[in-house]
Amino acid sequence: MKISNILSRFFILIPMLLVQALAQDPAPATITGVVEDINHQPVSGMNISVQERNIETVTDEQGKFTVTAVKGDVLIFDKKDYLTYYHTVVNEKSELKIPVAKSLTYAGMEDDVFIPFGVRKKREINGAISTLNASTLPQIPSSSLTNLFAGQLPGLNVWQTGTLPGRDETTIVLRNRASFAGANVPLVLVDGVVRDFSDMDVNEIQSITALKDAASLAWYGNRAANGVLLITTKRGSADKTRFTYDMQMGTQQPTVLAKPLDSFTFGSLYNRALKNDGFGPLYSQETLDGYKSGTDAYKYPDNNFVKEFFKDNALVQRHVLSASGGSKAVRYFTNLSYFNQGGLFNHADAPLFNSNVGYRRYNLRTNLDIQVTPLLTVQLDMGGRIEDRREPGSTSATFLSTIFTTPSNAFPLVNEDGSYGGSNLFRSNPLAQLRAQGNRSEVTRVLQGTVNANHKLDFWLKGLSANVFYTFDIQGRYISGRSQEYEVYERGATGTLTRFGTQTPLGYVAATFADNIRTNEFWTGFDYDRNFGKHQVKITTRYQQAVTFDPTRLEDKRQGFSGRASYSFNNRYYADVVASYSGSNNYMPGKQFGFFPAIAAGWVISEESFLKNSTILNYLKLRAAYGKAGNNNTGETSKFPYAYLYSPTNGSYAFGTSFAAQAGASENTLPNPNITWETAYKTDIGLDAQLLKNSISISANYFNEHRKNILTNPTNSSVLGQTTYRINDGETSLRGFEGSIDFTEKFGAFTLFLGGNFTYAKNKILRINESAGLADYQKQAGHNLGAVSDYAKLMLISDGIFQSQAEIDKSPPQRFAGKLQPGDIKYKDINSDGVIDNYDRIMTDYNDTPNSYYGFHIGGKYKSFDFSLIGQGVLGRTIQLRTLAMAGSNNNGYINQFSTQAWTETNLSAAYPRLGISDRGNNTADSDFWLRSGNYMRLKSIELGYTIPSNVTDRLNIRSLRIYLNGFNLLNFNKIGADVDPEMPFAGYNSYPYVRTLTAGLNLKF
Amino acid sequence: MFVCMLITLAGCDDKFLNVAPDVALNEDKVFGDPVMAAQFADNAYSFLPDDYLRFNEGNGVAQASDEAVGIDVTNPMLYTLMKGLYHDHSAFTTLAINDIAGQYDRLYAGIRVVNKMLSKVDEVKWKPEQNAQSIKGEMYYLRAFMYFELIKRFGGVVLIDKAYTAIEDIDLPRNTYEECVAFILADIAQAVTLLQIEQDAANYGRPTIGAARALKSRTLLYAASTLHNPTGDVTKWKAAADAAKEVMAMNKYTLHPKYEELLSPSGNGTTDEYILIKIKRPRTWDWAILSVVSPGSGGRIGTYNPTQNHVDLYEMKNGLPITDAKSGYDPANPYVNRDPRFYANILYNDAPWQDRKMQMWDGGLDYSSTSSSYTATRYYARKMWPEVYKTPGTQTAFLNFIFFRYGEILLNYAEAQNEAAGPDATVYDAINQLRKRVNMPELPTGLTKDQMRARIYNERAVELAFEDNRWYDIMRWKKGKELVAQKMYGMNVVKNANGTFTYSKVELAGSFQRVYEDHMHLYPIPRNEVQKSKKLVQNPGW
Repeated sequence: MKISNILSRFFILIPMLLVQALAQDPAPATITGVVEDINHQPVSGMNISVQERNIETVTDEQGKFTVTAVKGDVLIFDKKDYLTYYHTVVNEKSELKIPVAKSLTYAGMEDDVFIPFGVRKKREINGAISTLNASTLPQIPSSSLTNLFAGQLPGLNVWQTGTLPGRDETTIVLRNRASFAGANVPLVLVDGVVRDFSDMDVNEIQSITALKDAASLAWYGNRAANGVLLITTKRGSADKTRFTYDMQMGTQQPTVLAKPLDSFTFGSLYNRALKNDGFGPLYSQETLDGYKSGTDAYKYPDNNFVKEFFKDNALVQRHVLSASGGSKAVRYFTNLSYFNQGGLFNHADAPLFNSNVGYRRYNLRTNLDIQVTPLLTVQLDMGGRIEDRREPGSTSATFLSTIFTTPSNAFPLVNEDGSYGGSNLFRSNPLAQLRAQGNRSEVTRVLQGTVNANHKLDFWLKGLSANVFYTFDIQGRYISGRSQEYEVYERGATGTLTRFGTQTPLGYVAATFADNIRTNEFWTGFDYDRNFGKHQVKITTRYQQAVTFDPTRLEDKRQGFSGRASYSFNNRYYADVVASYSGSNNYMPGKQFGFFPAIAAGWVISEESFLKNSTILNYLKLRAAYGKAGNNNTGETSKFPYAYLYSPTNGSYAFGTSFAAQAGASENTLPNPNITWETAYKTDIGLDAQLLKNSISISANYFNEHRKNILTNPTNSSVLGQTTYRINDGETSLRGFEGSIDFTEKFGAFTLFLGGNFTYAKNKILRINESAGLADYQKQAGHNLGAVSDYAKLMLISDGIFQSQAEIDKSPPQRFAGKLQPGDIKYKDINSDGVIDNYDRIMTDYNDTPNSYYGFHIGGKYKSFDFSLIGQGVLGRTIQLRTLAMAGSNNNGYINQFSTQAWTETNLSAAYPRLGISDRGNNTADSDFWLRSGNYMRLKSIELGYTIPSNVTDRLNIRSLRIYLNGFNLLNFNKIGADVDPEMPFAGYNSYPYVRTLTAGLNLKF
Repeated sequence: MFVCMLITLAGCDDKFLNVAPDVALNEDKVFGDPVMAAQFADNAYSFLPDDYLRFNEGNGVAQASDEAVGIDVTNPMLYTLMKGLYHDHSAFTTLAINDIAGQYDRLYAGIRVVNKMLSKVDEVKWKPEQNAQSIKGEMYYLRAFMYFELIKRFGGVVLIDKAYTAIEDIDLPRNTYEECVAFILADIAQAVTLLQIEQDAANYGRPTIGAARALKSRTLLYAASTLHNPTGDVTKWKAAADAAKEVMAMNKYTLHPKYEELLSPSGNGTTDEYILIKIKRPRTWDWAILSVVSPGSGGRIGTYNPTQNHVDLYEMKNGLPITDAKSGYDPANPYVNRDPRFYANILYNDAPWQDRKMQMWDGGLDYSSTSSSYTATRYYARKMWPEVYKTPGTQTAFLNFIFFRYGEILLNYAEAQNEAAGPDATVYDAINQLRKRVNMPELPTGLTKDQMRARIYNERAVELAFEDNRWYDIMRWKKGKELVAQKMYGMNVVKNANGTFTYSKVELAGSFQRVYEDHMHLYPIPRNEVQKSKKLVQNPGW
C-alpha cells in the first residue's frame, strides 16, 4: 500500500470515504500523446494530471507524454503562461494530439487575485492591489506570521513590537498613518471576515492581498480607509492529491542583550552620582576593594543576572501535516500543525512546575468544497487553534525587570544557609521568582467556521448566481497556574539574616476565563458574470449584517449593502464601479449609514497596434482609481458618544459614622451627536509592465489621500466643567509612491530571481484642533503624524553638554532642574527671552514610523540546489536612547551599563550627560539630544535548499523531498552607535530580547 | 430557496443597528428618581479639595510655603511652585491634581454638578426620606465653597451659574473679585436659610448653618486682606469680624481640650471644635499621605520635612518669642521649654517616639546623608504621623481633613477685629482662648495694633501648622517676599562622644530655596485656558 493511501485512511473521515468510494475502477490503460502550441511547436514541461487520481507527469523536450488512465477520466494540461486544457479520455488506444494556447499576460492560472467576494486575473485589476503568494515566505518556525511579511509587499510596513514567545506581536500599516485619532491598522480579513491571522500556520494560507486603492476598499464602506489585507486559505483541488509533511527545527538566540555592570564599577559610579548630588559616598573603599577582589561572594556579591538567567539559545520547532485533493463531488484541504517555541530563561525548571516562558500552538483547518447538485456548491471551512502560553508566576515582565534593574551587588542569589538572598531595598530574587513563585498558563482556543453556498441561476438569466455566506467564530481564554510566595533574607554586616516576605506552600491560582467573544457575519447577494462577444460584464451585489458579542460590553453591529460592476472590452479596456452603503451602531440613529462610491479604469496600452510589436515592452497597463472610503476605528471607547447619558458611580465621598462611600450618579462625557467616521478620498494612478521577453516586471503606484473628519479634541474652556467627546474636525494628507521590480532569467541550468520594492509615504496634519493662542512653533498643524515612542514631539533643542561652570554662568538659566552643573545638557533659547523654559520647546517631525521602507530578494536555482535571500529596511525614522541611558530608579541610582559613558571632568566628550540620582529634570527632558537615526537595513532571511533527485525519491515512493537551512534576522546595519536592535531598541534591556532564528527543515511530499 | 432566504434576511429588522443603551442612565431616569437625584447631588462633594498633601507622592502646598520642604524637589508640582514656575505647574504635566490647573478644572466640574442639580431640584418628586431643603442648601453651600477656593487662588474668575451644553458658547470673560465675593455671599445667605443647625449622625459631614457662617468668615477675611483690600477699607474688616462673631455667638463650638489630637480625636473621631470636616474612615498606612511623612526608619520615604524657619516660630513656654533675649532660648539646647504645640507638631532630635528616641544625627536611625528617604532638615511632621503607625503594622488613625474648626474662627476674629477696631479685649480673649488650651501664658497687655497683628500672624502659623492655611495666608497678606523668598534653614545635629548633641542652624541646599515675586500673590489662570479663549485676561505678571 502506498504511503499516501495510509495517510488518506488516517487523515480525515469525509475525504477518506470519498477517496475510498472511487477505488472501484475499470482496469487502467496507457495513453500517449504530444502537446503542441498553435504554431504546432511541441510544448515541453507541461504538467499533466488525471482528475481525481493521484497521477501526474510532465511532457518531455518533444512535448511527448505517457499517462495511465481509463475511459472517462479527465486529463488536465497546465503550465505557466498557457491556458489550462481539459481532455476527457474517450478512446484509450489513440495517440493524442493536444493543442494548447498561450494565455494573455497576467491572465494565466497563476494570476488569480482575490478581491472581496470575487477573483480577478491580475490583468483585470485597475486599483492598487499587491499580492503575495504564501509559498514565497521564508521557511522558518515563527510564532507570528506577520513577522515574515517584512519587506515583502510594496506599501506594507511591518515592524515588531513584542519579542516574548507567543507574544511577538507586530504592527502593520499600509502605506503610512493618515489618522491621528485612532489606530491606523488595516482591516485584516481571513477568508472575508475579521479574524486574527498572525497566529495561523503559514501552510494554511494561499495568498495575502493588500487592497490599497479606493475602488478596492469602497466595498467595505466605513471601515476600510486604512486599507485591507485579505488572507485567503488554501483549498483542495480535484486535479491533484497531495500529502505533505513539513518539519522545522531551530534555535533562537538573542541578538542584543544587556551587559550589566560588575559590582565594583556599579559601586564606583553610584558614588560618583552621589558626589554630583552633593552627597558623600555610599560604598567605602574597603567595600569597593571587596568587590574587586571577589574573595567573599556573600559579603561582596557580584552577580551578572542577565548572563545567569538567559540561556544562549532556545529551541523552536514546527511540524505540519497537510492533505489536499478530492473528486468532482468533494474537494478537501486539511492541515494540522504543531508549533513549539521555548523560552530563554535559565533555571526555570522547578521540581514541580516549569516557569520558563514558552509558547505552544496547535492549528487545525479543514476546507471542503462540496458539489451538492450540478448547480449548488457549498464550501464548509473550519479553522481552529489552541495556543498555550506559559510564564513565571510573577509574570515575565516582572521577572525581566528584576533581572535588568537589580544591581549586581544587591545580594547573593543564595545565602550561605541556602536561603534566597534579598534586601530591604531589593526584595525580588530572580531565582526565587522562577523556582518558588509558581507559574501561569494561558490557553486560548479559537474556532472559526464558514459556510459559503453558491447557487447557479442560469435557468433565469445566463451568468446569474446567488450566494449566501455565513461565519461563526468563537474564542476564549483560560488562565490557570500555580501560586506561591517566597521569602528572602538580607545578610547583615555580621552575617545575621533578616527576613523579608513570607513563604507560602505551592497552591493553584484561581482559574479565570476571559475574552469570550463570538462573532457572526452574514453576507448574501447575487453575482452576474457573462461575456457578450468582446464585452465582458461582472456584477456582484451583497447585503451584509455582522455582530460581535463580547460579554463585557454591548454588541458591535454592522449592516450594509455593497455592489461592484466591472466591464471590460477586448481584454484591453477595463472599468469598475464600486459602492457601498454601510452602517454601524456606533453612531446616532439616523446618522449610522454612509455612502462610499469609487471608480477605476485601466488600459492595456501594449495591446494597441503601435506597441503590439515592441520587442522591449511586452506588456503595459495604465490604471487609475478614485473614490471614498471610511474609517470608524477611531479609538472611541464609549459605545454611545452621541447620547447624553449618566452613569451610576460608587461615589467617593462619605458621610456619617459608617465611613462608607455613598452610591452616586454622575453625568458622562458630554456627547457629540454628530460624531461620525473618518472619510478618506483616495487617488491612485499606476502602471504594470513587462519588459525584455517578460524577464522584467514592474509595478508602480502614485497615491494621494486626503482624509477628513478625523476626530480631534474640542478646545472648550474648562469652565464648562465637563469633558466633551471629540469632534470630526481634523484633516490630513498622505501622498507617496510605491513600486516593485522583479527580474527572472534562466542561464542554462541556473535560474536567477532578483527583485525589490520601495515605498515612500509622507503624511501631514492639515487641520487639528489647537488653542488659538499657542505659539506657531508649538503647533502641530503642518507637521507629520506620530512621534518617537515615550517622547513628545514638542521638544527642546540641545546644544551639547555644559563643560564648565563658567559656561553655565554665561548661558541663560534653564528651568528644568534645581541646580545646573557641568555635565548637564545645554538647550537653545528658541524664543530668545533669556530663559530656557517650556516656551523653548518646538514642534518637530521626528517619528519612529518610517516614511520610506523597502525590501529586496535574491534567489537562485541550480539543478537540485536553491538559494534565497530577503532583505528589508526603513528610512526616515528616529529613535531615542534616553529610555536606555537614563534607565533606573532611586534604588539603583539610575546606574546602568550606559553610565560608563556619562560625562565627567576627565571625559568631556562623553556621549551622555553627568550622573545624578536626584534633581534629574534637566537631563531627562524631551530633547533632540537623545535622538538617533532609526534607519536600518536588515538581512531578514537567508535560505539554502537541496531537493533530493527524483530517481532517489521515486525509489522511496515519495513525490519530492527538500531539505534546507534558514537563518532569520541574521544581520542588521544601522548608525545608532549603541549596541541595540534598531527595530526595538529597548529589547534585551528592559524587555525580552530580539531573537535570530536558525532553522533546519525538510519538506516531504507524497 | 435562495430567493426566499434573501428576502427574509435582507428585509429583516430595520432596527438592527439601534441598540439601546440599557445600562446607561438618561437624565429623566436620574432626576425622576429621588434617591438617584440625591446621589447625583452628593457627587458634587467629591470635587472639593479634601485632603492634605494632595500632590504626587504626598507633596503639598505646605512645602511650597515656609512650613516645610520636600525632598522630592524634582516633583514638578512642588518644584514649579517653589521656583515660581507656575505655568509649568499646569503645562506639560499629566500628574494628579495639582494646585493650579488641577483645581481650576476640578472646581468648575464640581460647580457644574451643583448648577445641574439646582436647575433640576424643584422638578424632582422628593420623598420625606430625602431632605429636599437640605439638599438645595448643600448645593448653594458647595457652590459658594468652590468659588471661594477658586478666588483664593486666582482672584476674580468666570462666574457660571448653569450647566452649559458642549455646543454653547462658553468663552466668557472673568468677573471681578468683588462680583465673585458678592455671588458667594448670596449663595451662603441662601444656604443659611435652608441648612440645619446640626446634621444627624448618618449625615455628619454635610454642611450646617455653622459651616456656612464659617465659610462666610473665611471669605470675608480674605476679601478684607491686603491683597484684595489695598486701601485698607475698615468696613471690610468689620464685616469679616462680624462674620466670625456670628459663628462664635452660636455657642455651639468649643476648643478640643487636647491640641495634639486635633486631627485624630480619640473615640469616634470627632470633636466639638470641628465645624466641617471630610469624613474619612480610620486610615491605614497608605501611600497618599501617611507613608511620605515617616522616614526610611519608619518604613517610608520621609519627604515632608518642617523647616527651621517654621520651628523658630514656636515661642518659649514663658510666652516669649525665641528672638527675645529674655526668653531663655538656648541655641545649643533648642528643644526645651517650648510652646507645647511644638511638641505636638514637630518630631525633632531626641524626641521620645514610638518607645525610643529620634536619632537625627548622620548614621542615626532617622537620618542618613546618603539616602533620600530621610529628612533634609532633621525634622519630621508629627502632626501628620500618628504615633500608632509603625512598620510592620496594621494600626489605623483618623487623620481627618478639616475644612473649618473653631480655632480658626477665633483667629479670623482676632485678625479682623484688630484691623477694624484695634487690639481690644475681644481680640485678646480670642487669642488667649487658644493659648490657654495649650497652657501658654496670655498675650502681654498693651500691645499696639501692629504688635498685635504680628502676634496673631505668629499664632496662626503655629496653631494651624500644616493644615493648608499658611500658604494661602501668605498670599493674602502679600508676605511672600518676606517669608518665602528668604533663606530656608534646617538643623545640623552632631552626636558627641559623651552622648550630648551639638546643634547648628544650617542653610538648606539650593534646591530647597524658593523664588517669590510680587505677581505670585495670585496663581496664573492655566495657560492653556487663556490660549483657548479670546476673552480670558491673565493675571498681571504672568
